[in-house]
Amino acid sequence: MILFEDVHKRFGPKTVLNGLNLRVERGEILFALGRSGTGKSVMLKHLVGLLRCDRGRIVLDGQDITQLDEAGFGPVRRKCGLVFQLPALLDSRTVFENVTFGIRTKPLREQIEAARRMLPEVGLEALADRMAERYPPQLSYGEQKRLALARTLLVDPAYVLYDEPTTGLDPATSRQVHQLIRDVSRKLGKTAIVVSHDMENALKTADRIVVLDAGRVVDEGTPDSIRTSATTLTQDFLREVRR
Amino acid sequence: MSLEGSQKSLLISNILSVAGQTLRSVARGRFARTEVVKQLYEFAWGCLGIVSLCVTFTGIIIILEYSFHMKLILANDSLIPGFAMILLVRELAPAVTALLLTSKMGASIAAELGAMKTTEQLDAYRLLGLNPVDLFVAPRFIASTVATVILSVVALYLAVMGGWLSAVLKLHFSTGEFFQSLFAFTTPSDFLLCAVKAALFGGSIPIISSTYGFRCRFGSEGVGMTTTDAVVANSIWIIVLDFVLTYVFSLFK
Amino acid sequence: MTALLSAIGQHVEFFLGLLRTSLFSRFESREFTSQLASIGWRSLPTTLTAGVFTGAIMAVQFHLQLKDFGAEATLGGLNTSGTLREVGPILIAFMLAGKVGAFTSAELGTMKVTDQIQAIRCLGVDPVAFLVVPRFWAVVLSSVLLLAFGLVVSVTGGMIASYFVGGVNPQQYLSMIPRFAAAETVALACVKALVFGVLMGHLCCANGYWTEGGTQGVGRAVRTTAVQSMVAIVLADFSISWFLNGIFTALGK
Repeated sequence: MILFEDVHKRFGPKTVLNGLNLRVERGEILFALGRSGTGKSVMLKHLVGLLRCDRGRIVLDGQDITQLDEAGFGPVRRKCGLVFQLPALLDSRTVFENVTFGIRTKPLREQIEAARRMLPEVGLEALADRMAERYPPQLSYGEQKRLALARTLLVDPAYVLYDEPTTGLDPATSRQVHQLIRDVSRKLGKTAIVVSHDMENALKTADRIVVLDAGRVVDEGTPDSIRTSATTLTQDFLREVRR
Repeated sequence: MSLEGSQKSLLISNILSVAGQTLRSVARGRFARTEVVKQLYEFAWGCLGIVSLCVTFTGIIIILEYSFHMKLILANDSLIPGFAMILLVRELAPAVTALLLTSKMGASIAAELGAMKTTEQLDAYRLLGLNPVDLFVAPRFIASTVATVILSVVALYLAVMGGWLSAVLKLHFSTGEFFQSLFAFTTPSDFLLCAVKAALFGGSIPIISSTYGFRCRFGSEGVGMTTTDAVVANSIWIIVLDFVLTYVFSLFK
Repeated sequence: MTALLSAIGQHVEFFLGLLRTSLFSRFESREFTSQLASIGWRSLPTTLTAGVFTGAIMAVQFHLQLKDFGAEATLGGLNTSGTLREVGPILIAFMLAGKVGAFTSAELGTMKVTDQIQAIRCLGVDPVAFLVVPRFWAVVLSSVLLLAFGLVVSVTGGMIASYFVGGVNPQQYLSMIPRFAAAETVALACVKALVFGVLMGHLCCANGYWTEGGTQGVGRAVRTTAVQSMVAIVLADFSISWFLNGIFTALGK
């Protein structure tokens, strides 16, 4: 279970998180929606220690991770895997080396087996045979994003954090990616926190949706309750969904 | 004439093409005077700090080095300032200044034009019937040539001051002795060489950097590589040109 | 003033971090060798050119000066000594700062702005150990080797130029070298090569690692590296020459 308690974060004069209160239960798929610049990515980065908050408390599975140092976040990062918006793959290393990057200290045989098992899960079976010969620049953007997801999953985190997974993708591919998120979570038993501004897919994929504005939660609920929500921002998002 | 310049077409032909267009542009006055002034400020004022710093220290060292060497050849070192001055005027003032300018302004011109290429601004200008060479290269060409000459003169002055410090503090010269010896060997032709070198080095920088900018490849590595390549190309060109000018000059002595 | 001090503090901290990580973390030999190949090997042609022409320029200049004293015979020794001690290290280092330094800072900077560095951290790997440290040592080693190569080549360049310009017999040229370019000159050149290498390595890695702000940030990081490298090289050159000169004099050269 993840808990954000009255979290504040400021960058210079700009306040990005302004009293964020959020609870994420194990096993659920949570979508955090909001306009650009409302602190969604910043929230995720706090969970893996890329940022430290100014005020408030963050608890992960009973452990207070608010003021841990870099070394302290090592075990946390094995529990929370962040899939970045940009694929962030290493261009000069092969697909195999990229996908097994998180487990590179394990014996080679284990790495190969793990890679072979994981690539089909993210829809990259075609790459499994050539993984030691292909390089990220040779893959399509969609394939790169899937590879990045596989890379994170290989570390076997309990929580998978997705930072805007479908921004910039066409609607058909977006639909596929959201399906993938759902399958991965259910099949591998992961908790998913998805930061997005795609209300349509959120309604179809999420167990629970929260809406963020000005650094705090302004609305939350199941897809059904969100559909009938009275909050202005939520209604704005709903209007953009195709009927 | 297209400035697209893919990897297939020769770099040299692109540079010559840009050079030709620039000179034509200047000759026909097809550039904005205000832009020239603005660029002049960027070049001269913007690089004054780093040139001053580097050249002063260079001046200090030069005197010491000459002292070391002269003592090996001739027993007496009273003529050191004179010898050092020749090297400063003919070589160090124009070349070091130009190399410093290359790193700063050469890189920044290449980066700026490269970024414009990748964001398709250059194409937009051409569609409006404007030639990027007139807009961007010609003003910088004029500004750079003038600024390099000015900065070389400043550099010369500061290097002499640095040398004076060395001579007086470490080599037991008196100020009078130092300055008396300073102009013992220099002739007006040396100063002319300095000015000519400075002008040619300065003029080359915008032309070469712009060419690299126009040829920039897409993507974030593209701009980075363009900048690097432009600085290296400029540096090598300056060193080679320096040799050629020095050699030609030596034929007249 | 406080801004400058805190910037220096950050650099010192980064540098010490590099050293600590080098000692205590697993050494990424793959990354190191591939960097060495990209940086070192590909810079050979430019270093060769810079070296040859630097030696040649100085040969012509010194020849002109020595001619007036009938001391042309000593050209071999004087040119080699002067080039090795001063001009060579600086000119070649300037060029390397542009090529090697810019390349590495651009690469690290691009990795930073595309989140690769953050991604590596999240996967439990120390980005400094995996990416930065191998590059630092690759730059240091490449710089030292390339500088040494450049200086050796400059001797050749000087010799060839002396022959064509001043009719100095190559054999005589070479015979003068031991008399003038003694052990201390070589030592000075080696110390400079090492110090310049370390400075360039640190500056390009630090600036690359600290890049912020997308493509423009990468461009800025490259320019900052170039400028800082130049200043650092000049200051280091000055310090080494000044103090080493003092030591050698004290030891009764």
